[in-house]
Amino acid sequence: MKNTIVKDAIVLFLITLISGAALGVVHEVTLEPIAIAQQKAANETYREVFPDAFEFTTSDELQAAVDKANEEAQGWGFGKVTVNACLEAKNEAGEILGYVVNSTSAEGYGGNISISVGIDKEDKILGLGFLSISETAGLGMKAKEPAFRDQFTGKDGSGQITKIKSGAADDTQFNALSGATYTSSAVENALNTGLKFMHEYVEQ
Amino acid sequence: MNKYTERIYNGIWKENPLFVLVLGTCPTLAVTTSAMNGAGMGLSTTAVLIFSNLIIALMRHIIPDKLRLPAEIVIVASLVTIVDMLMAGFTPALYESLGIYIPLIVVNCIILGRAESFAMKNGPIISLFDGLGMGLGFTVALVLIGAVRELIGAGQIFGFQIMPSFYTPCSIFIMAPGAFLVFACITALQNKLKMPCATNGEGLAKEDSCTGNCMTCSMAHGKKD
Repeated sequence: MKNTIVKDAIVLFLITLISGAALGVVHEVTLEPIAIAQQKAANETYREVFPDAFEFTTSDELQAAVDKANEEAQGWGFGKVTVNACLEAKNEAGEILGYVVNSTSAEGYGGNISISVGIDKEDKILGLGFLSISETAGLGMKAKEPAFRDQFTGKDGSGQITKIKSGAADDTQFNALSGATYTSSAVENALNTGLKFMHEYVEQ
Repeated sequence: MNKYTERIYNGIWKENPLFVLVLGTCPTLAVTTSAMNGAGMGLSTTAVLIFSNLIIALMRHIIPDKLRLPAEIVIVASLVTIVDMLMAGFTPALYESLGIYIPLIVVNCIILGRAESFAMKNGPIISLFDGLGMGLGFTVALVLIGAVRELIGAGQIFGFQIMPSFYTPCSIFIMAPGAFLVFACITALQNKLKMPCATNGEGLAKEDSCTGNCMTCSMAHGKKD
């Protein structure tokens, strides 16, 4: 048998080189469209959770507050949570109507659940939307359905919101999804992380 | 039936990758929680399979025999990543529903299996049709399993309510055990009806495909070296 190690190495090297170059080119080409698409998707969610706002902007102070909160968030008793971003919801005249806060719990059944919550200046929850969720279809994924999602609209966000398994939920409670305990807990934790952040880190 | 349509028939029925070759069972167990998920995974796999078969068939004379596996994996992984990025950038709506399946395709053994057993030995066009047939066969199989699980586990198919309102969904079918139950029942049925299946007795004794039966596989016994 002829020793072909040098030739083999060169062929494999060329294959990986060409693959790598192709990946690099595609990455460059798609970088901007991907960023635009993600921004657009996020904006659509913000509009759902804060329908009255004209635009959503962030500021250096809010970003600093987010960074500070994330240093401490693991110790808040909500498990593995992070605050992702906080935006001011403004009307056409530029007045601040309230805030949109994005938070993530890493403890969904299928990993991270990122939510976006719209809160007005009286701490009333205007809506809750999902930025990313990959739970079990038919169980945890039902969180995205209006039946679950819309129950948060109008809740009192001045304290904590807790999940209940049965009965009628009052202003500070919501009905958990049956059969999807992990999903419901992750939503509860992410939501309360967002609310705590709003109360303690953002000067209103 | 010409040789191209024969490849498609072969992939969907005669050598269905899931039911007959018993390849790609990991993603099957993971994503068939609903018919829609099955269709998504199946179609994403089809797209990658068509291109991977085409590219590997084109390069079959360049790739050294000893380096088949690393070369194939590099090509398939790059291809999947490219598809992933293109979809994220240019078809965000599609990406939102299919995006989570894309990374799973890299390690899907149907892709590697077809590259090894078909594309490395055949021309590019017929390999492309083989990829299309195998992909569609996988899609059909996933949708079938997904539909059964969704029907029993959630009372719906493709998100439409099928079962009457008094039916209480049996949630275990959309959780992990349900995949095993449904898949096992189908395999048992194949055995009972003596239909061809790699796990069925002798298995397939054909040379041009991975039969899942390593004992009789022509490729397992020290290929020409």
